[in-house]
Amino acid sequence: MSKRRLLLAEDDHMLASLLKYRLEREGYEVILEYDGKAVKEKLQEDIPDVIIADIMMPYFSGIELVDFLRNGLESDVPIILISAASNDENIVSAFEMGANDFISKPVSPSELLVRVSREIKRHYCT
Amino acid sequence: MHITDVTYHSLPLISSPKIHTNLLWDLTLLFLILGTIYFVSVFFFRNKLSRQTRKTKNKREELAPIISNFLFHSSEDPKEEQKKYIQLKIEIREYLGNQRFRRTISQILFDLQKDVAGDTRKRLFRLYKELELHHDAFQKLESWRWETVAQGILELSQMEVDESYQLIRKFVNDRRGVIRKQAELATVGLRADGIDYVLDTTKHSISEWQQLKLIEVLGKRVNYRAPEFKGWLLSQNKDVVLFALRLIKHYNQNGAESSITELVKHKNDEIKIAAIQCIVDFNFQSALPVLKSVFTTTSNAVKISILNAIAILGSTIDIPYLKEIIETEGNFLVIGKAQSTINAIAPETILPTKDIVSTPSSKTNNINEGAVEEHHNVKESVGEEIPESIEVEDIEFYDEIEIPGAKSSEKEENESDSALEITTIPDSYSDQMDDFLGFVASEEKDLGTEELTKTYDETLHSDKIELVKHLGVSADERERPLLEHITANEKDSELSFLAFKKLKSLQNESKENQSSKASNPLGIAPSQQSIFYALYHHTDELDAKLILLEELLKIGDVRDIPFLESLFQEGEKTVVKKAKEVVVKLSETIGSEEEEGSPLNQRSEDEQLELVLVENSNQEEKDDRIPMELFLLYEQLGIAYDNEEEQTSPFDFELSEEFFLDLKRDTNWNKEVSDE
Repeated sequence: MSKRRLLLAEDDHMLASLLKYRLEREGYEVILEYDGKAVKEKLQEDIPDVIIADIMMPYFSGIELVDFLRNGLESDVPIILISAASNDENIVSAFEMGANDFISKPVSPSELLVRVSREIKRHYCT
Repeated sequence: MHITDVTYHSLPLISSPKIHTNLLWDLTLLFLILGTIYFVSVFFFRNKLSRQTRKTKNKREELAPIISNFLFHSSEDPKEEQKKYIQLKIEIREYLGNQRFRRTISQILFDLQKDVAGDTRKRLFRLYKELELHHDAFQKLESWRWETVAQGILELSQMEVDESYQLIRKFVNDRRGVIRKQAELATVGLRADGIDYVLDTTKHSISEWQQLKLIEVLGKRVNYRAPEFKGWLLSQNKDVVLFALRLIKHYNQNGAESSITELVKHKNDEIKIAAIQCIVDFNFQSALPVLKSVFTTTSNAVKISILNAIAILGSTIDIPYLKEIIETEGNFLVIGKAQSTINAIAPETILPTKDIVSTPSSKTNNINEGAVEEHHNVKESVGEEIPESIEVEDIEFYDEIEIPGAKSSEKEENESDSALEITTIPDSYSDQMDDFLGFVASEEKDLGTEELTKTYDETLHSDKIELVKHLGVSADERERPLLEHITANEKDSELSFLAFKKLKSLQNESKENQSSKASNPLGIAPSQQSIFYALYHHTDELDAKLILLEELLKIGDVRDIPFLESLFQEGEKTVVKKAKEVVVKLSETIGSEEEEGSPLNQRSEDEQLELVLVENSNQEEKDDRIPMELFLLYEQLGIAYDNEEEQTSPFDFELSEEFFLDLKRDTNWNKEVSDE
């Protein structure tokens, strides 16, 4: 069975590297991008199985990314958003745009893994 | 004078000074060199910093997988992973000798701990200690620079280095504020008993922001069991007491009722207010008497806090106390708060009165105003005071009273406002008004006690308030049963109190009436009781009046003083002056008689009455005197006068003009009579 491909969009290099390492250890293939513009370009080329994106990113926010995916690319790929800002408005608008899940910083890599696997199960195994 | 002379002539402060050209060149050169040095140094240091940042960034990227490997390493990993891990450990040991590397890795771990949670975070703290990076932080604590020390404390506390607790807590009383605050946070964060140490030992003030930060740190502790903070209510440091109160409130420690109540008596206003807030939050009803007792001696801010507390904890029993505050308090803010407190306890008791503009004249309003005016008139005529009311000041009655059947005529009335002012209220409306206000004005409408009380009981509460207020102003003996009924049965203590007060005033009034009737059975005004009253008003001549007053001084007594005092209002200055003199002299005479224990004063009322009668009869005798012409006639005719035996002269020396005019004419007749 081929590895599930995850796109991780996070501007904090250390955290991105840590999460990538943890996800890879769990058997996922992780594509790492540090800003919204690069993520957008990547998505135009190929759409991964799951997208994990930070809401606050340079050039292109996580919410704009959700909008781009759902309305621009018309993709229903699972999106998990990460944000330090526990702002209700951000969370609500993200879910309204079509985000599947939300996780707030500080991130527990174990929790993220559980959420990723749940989204994969929900989206691809049902 | 030539123009050239003006041009080249040197004028002080206007002409430029003569400077040697070489000096100017030297200065130019100097500034050029300085500028070049400045720009070169800026360029150099900027590049150096950029290079360092780039290096650090590269190093971070290089170290990121290593750190991730360290963090997520497990003994169950495959052999290849185990080998890789051991190799990395050896490599990193070599790197750790480099101070810059240590700084970088410690910075990476410090930054990362903010973004990760759960098990990864714990692994990160373990790695930090395994790499012995906390020793660098210990060294920072010994620095003389306050920012380095604060950074060291922050790093140790964030990385949860438990061994640093003893070192950090020494800084709790540091003279440098930043270090002190950082140490407080670290002490509280590192150990559960850190808060005890801070509260026990801190000598400095703890700002409100710092208090909130400390509570936040405590909140992050898992399974934290807060100590009994009431122990610190006894602290000498007022900020500790305030913080303890805040903590008590935060952790809902309601076992410190007595201590908190006692703090209401504290000399510090901040503590008082915090204690009052605690009392409100914990609903300590028992503290109400203490709050009331300290009210008068506190500042306005505390008074307002106390009133806030009463608004929440108080009941209708406290309304009289609040009314007393309204009457006695000088500060308008406190008065306003007291009024709003009454409304909080009994909603809508006090209605807004300030700057309330009357609605355009409508019949109903006018009727109501008329009714109110009537009340005022009653008050003035009776001379009784309006019972203590919450709307004592600036009360304006603009409540609309709906009168059934009056609507049809309202339009007509509105059409002519001027007519409205002089329109008398029809009897039917007046009766309805009386019914509404609870008046029992006419005998025909005199209701029975049972009927009254029944009607009252069936009335709405808002109408009851209105009714009792009006009764308070205008009730008389007829409303006594209703007032008694209200006092005994009314649940609203305010209404009951008002009714009771009116009842009491009625009782006093009736007593006074009885006593006044006993002393003055005919109901004559005191000033009219003097025997000189009628005499004085009988004549219009000033001289006669003055003679009368002179006579009054000789024979007057206490009963004449009100009459004399009534003369003070006279327009004639001479009379007023004389009356005043007589009052003074008469008072002195009466006073001396009283001192001597004169028999007049010792006489019974009956004896005094007899004396008055005797005096009056004497006066009558004086009035019985015959005119002189009649006396002469009697003499000429040989008719004897009855009162010859009397010592006093029986004649009236006043002679009429006719007597003198006819005297000549009658001479012959007189001679004839004498001859005969």
